[in-house]
Amino acid sequence: MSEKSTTQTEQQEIHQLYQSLEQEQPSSELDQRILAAAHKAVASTAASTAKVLPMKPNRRAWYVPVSYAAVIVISLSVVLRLLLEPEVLDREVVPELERSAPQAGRDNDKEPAAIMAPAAPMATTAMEAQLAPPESVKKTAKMQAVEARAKASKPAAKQPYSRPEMLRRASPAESDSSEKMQLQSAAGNRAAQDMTLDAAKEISRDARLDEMKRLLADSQYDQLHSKLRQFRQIYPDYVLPEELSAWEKQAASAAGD
Amino acid sequence: MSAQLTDQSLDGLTDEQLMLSYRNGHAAAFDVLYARHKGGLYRYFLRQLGLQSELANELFQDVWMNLINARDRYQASAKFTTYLYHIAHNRLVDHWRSCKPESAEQDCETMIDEAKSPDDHAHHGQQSMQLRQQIQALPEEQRNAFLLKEEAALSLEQIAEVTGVNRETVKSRLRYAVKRLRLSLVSIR
Repeated sequence: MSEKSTTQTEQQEIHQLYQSLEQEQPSSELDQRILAAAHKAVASTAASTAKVLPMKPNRRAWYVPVSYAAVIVISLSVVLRLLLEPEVLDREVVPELERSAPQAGRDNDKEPAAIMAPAAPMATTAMEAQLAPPESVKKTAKMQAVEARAKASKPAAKQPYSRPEMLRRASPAESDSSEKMQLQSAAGNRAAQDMTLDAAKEISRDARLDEMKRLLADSQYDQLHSKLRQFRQIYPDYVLPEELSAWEKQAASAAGD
Repeated sequence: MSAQLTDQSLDGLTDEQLMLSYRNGHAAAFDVLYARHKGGLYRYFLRQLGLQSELANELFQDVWMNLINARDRYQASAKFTTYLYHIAHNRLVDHWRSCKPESAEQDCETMIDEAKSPDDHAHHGQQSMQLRQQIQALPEEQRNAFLLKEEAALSLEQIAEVTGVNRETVKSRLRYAVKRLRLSLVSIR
C-alpha cells in the first residue's frame, strides 16, 4: 500500500472516530441570548432608519396634492365668475377699456371696436344698465358663449388683440393684476375667458338692436336717432337689420336735405 | 431580499444568501444561519480550550456578536463558513495571546489537565476520551487545522485562508496531526 493511500486510510479512521464523539451544543440560554441580540440589532437599525427617512415622503405627499388643489380652485373660481357673470364683465371691464383706448377702436373695422367707443362713461353705463339683457338672456349666456365660439371659429389673426394684449394696451397700470391672473391660468381657461367676452359683446349689441327696433315700432324717432348714433359710434360698420337700415338711410337723407 | 420570506423558503437558501438577507434586515435569516453553525463552532472552541465550557461560551458568544455587529460589512465574495471561522480563529488567537504573557504554558497545561477529570473518564469510552485528550495535546497549529477540517468541513484552501498560511503548510499540519492521533490510539489498543 502506498504512503498516500495509507495516509488517507488513517485520516478516514480518525475522522470516523472523531465524528463518533459526543456532539456538544451550546446551552439554550446562550442560544436565546445570541438570537435576541441578533433580532434587537436588526430592529434598532430599522427604527433608526424609520426616524430619518419619513420626512421626505411626507413632504412630497403634502406638497403635490395641495399645489394641484390650489391651482384647480383658483382656475375654477376665475372661470365660473366669468361664465356666470358676463354682464358684470360687460359693465365693468369693457367701459374701462373703452375710456382708456379710444384711438385703438377707430383703427379696427371689425366687431371688437365696440369696446373702444369714445362715449362718455356715465352715459355708457346708464345705457348699459337700461339695455341690460333680460333674465332669459342672462341664463343662456353660457350657451350663447359656446355658440358664439363655434360660430366665430374665426382665425386668431382676425382678432385685433388677444385679451391680455388688449388690457395691456388699454391701461397698463390697472391691467397688471388682471394680466398676471391671466398668465397664471391655464390655456384652456384663457380660451374660455375670451369666449365669454365675445359672447358678452354680442349680448350687448343684440340688446341695443332690440331696443332700437322697439323704439322704431313705437315711433319714438328722437330716441331711436340718439340710440342709433350711439350704436354707430360703437359699431360703425355693422350691417343693421333691414327695417333699421331703411330708417337709417331715410334719416340720413332727411338730414342731408 | 424581501422580508416576506417564510421559514421554509429560508431553509433552501445558502449560508451566503441567509447572511445577506440578515444584513438587509430579515432577522429570521439569522435564526436559520445560527442553527446551522452553532454546534460546529461551539465544539471548535470547546475542544480547543480543553472542555472549559465557560470560556468556550464566552468566545462563542463573542464571535456571533462580532458577526452581528459587522453584518453591514459582509460581502458574499467568500464562503460564509470561511468568514465565520476566520472571526473565530482571530478570537482564539487573541485569547492565546492574552494567556501567554503570564506563565502561559502553565495556564494552558492546567486547562488540559482539568479536562482529564474522573467525571469525564466515567462518561465516555476510553478510546473517545483518549482522542479528546490527544486533540488537546496537539500543537496549536495542528489542532486548529484538524478542528477546522472536522467541525467546519473546510477544504485545505479554506483552512489556509482562515489561518493565513499556504495550502501545503495546512496539508502538512493535518498529516502530522492525524499521524499523532493515530499513534496514540494504537498505543491504547
